[in-house]
Amino acid sequence: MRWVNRKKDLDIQLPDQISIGVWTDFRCGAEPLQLCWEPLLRTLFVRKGPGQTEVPLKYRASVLRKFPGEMFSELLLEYVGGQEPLTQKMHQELAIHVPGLEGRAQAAGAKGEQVRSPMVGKVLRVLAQGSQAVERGQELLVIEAMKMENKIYARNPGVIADILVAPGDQVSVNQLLIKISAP
Amino acid sequence: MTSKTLFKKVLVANRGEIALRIMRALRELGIPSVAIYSDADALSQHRKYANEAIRLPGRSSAETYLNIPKIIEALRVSGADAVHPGYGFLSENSDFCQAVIQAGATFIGPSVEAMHLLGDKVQAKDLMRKFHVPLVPGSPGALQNVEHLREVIKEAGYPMILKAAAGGGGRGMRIIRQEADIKEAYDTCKREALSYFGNDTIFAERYIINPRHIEVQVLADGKTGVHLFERDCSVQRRHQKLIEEAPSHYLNAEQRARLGEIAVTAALAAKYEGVGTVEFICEAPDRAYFMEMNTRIQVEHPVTELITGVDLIQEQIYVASTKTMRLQQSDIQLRGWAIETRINAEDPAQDFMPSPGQIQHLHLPAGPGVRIDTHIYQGYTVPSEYDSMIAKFITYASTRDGAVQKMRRALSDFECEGVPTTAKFHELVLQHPAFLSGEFDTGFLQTYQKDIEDGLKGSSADTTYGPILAAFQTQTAADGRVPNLAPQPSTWQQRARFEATRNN
Repeated sequence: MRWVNRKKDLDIQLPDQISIGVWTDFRCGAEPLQLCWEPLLRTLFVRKGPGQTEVPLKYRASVLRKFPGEMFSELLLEYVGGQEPLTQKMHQELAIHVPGLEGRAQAAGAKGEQVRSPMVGKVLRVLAQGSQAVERGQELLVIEAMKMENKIYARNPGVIADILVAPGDQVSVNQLLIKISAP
Repeated sequence: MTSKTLFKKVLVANRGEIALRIMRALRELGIPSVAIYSDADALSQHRKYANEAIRLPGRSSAETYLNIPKIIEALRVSGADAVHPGYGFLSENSDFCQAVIQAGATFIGPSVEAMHLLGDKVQAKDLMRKFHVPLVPGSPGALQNVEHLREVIKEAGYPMILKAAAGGGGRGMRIIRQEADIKEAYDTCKREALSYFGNDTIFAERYIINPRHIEVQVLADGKTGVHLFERDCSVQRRHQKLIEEAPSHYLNAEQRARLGEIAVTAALAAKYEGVGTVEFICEAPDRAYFMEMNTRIQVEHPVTELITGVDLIQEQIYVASTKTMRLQQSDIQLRGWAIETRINAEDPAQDFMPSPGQIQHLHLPAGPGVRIDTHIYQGYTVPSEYDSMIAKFITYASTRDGAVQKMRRALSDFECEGVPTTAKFHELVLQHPAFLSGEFDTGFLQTYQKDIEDGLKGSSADTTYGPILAAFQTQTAADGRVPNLAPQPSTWQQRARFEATRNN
């Protein structure tokens, strides 16, 4: 699990890891604060310290993101019910990243991969070339499905070992598209 | 109305659905709310719904929601300028009211004096007598001797009940049904009163067998008051209300107006401020006697809100902060019919045994004319520390029949897996001919206990699909399978477990 700070000028020091239902220290500007994540309540509570009032930041909806090459849910935190100085700065500017299954390989620091098609569609363009070195998040090919162009990215850095499809090919779900070997 | 004239911040000293109900009213009024929560309620919705929350360490009511020093400390930390007590807990505790005032905040409710006066049944009745509010016929005070009792009976008639002035909880009572019983009942009651309560003062009242329980909602500012018609709470089990409706089928328009006026008189006799309920026991539609006044918002207030269109909690907050009323009697019109059923985490098939636990699947009814006041959600664990009420279903239609039909529909739409509820019980009551006719009293459940019990035990064998369902249940039971989906942890729980074991 990671944190996303959408407002780049907001100086928030978030903990690397938090446990559910446990108060963890963090810092917002010069202010030391504590936070507590309650997934069952879909809320992140923020307080100044023990015995102080807790302010709830809720997430009403989660967004499934697939960029770049990594799949995760983004929980956009918001404060409902008027103005609250403590959380004003953080309102809609912070999100929790809950990684999907694909995220784990990246988290483990894996290299090289087998790029598979996430959908049924037609290959529109192939942007990578054989033996090319690719970075994590680099665009590899474009698949058209439901009248939309969907970009497929590299999840891990490596070298293109094999390209198994060409523009115009119909592909099915999970079909192997490109093999990337570790650099 | 602007929020400038109202409170700056309100602490809600309660939990569960009523805490949410109050916080919703506060949010609509633009007033920030503060929640207090016990350790058993860390995953309760009111903690999340309020603008701020304060933890009260401990799990039991005594350590948390009944702990005046802890709540006053939370009030100080939060900087709130008013406290809403909800119902139950400290809502009718004059010490708490006093402590809130001493802390420099407003208690959203009546004055300490009014609470004191109305909290004492003997004092309250003396006050009502002065203001000519009808009381149960009987001796106006303590009985002097047997001759005095005979005179009282001559006037009030049989049956009569003798009660110890210092008594309560049904002890030290004697019922007199005929002339021959008088002497013995008087002596025994007097003797028992002395040995049980150390005080042999006794009084006599007419004994009303299975009365109708009718209560009138009032709103007052100490000087003027209005009534918001009556509620009929006659379906009770061991003095616990289960189904409430408004208006009452028992009264006609004239009786209704008269009872309303009496209720306002009773409230103003105590210089009452805020919302309150005057409870009556009814022997006949035109013979309603003052029983007591509840100095708080009540569980069943939504039925009155639906038939009048008045938000009682908002009006209560308005009166508490401005000390004035913005409603006149002519503003309040009765329209339609509303019914409320209380959904408790109790198993009606096992003598209403409390059944705390986790709600694995939940689907709440919705649609036109259905209001659900609840704090439960899928994945929520109903704690064993507090009241078993987990939801209130309220339906509204233009007629009583319409409201009943809507309630039956709502109850059949309700799905709750993991915690047995009283929903099935309500379904049976709502199709009972005696309930549908409207001709019933507080003895309803005793009288028809067998019908309801049979219904609870019986399968749906009388329907076309009954045999199929029964066969399916038998088959799955024989296989050792559970006929419905085995409880699966929610995605969020799985997520949480996964996160908890991760190292990065």
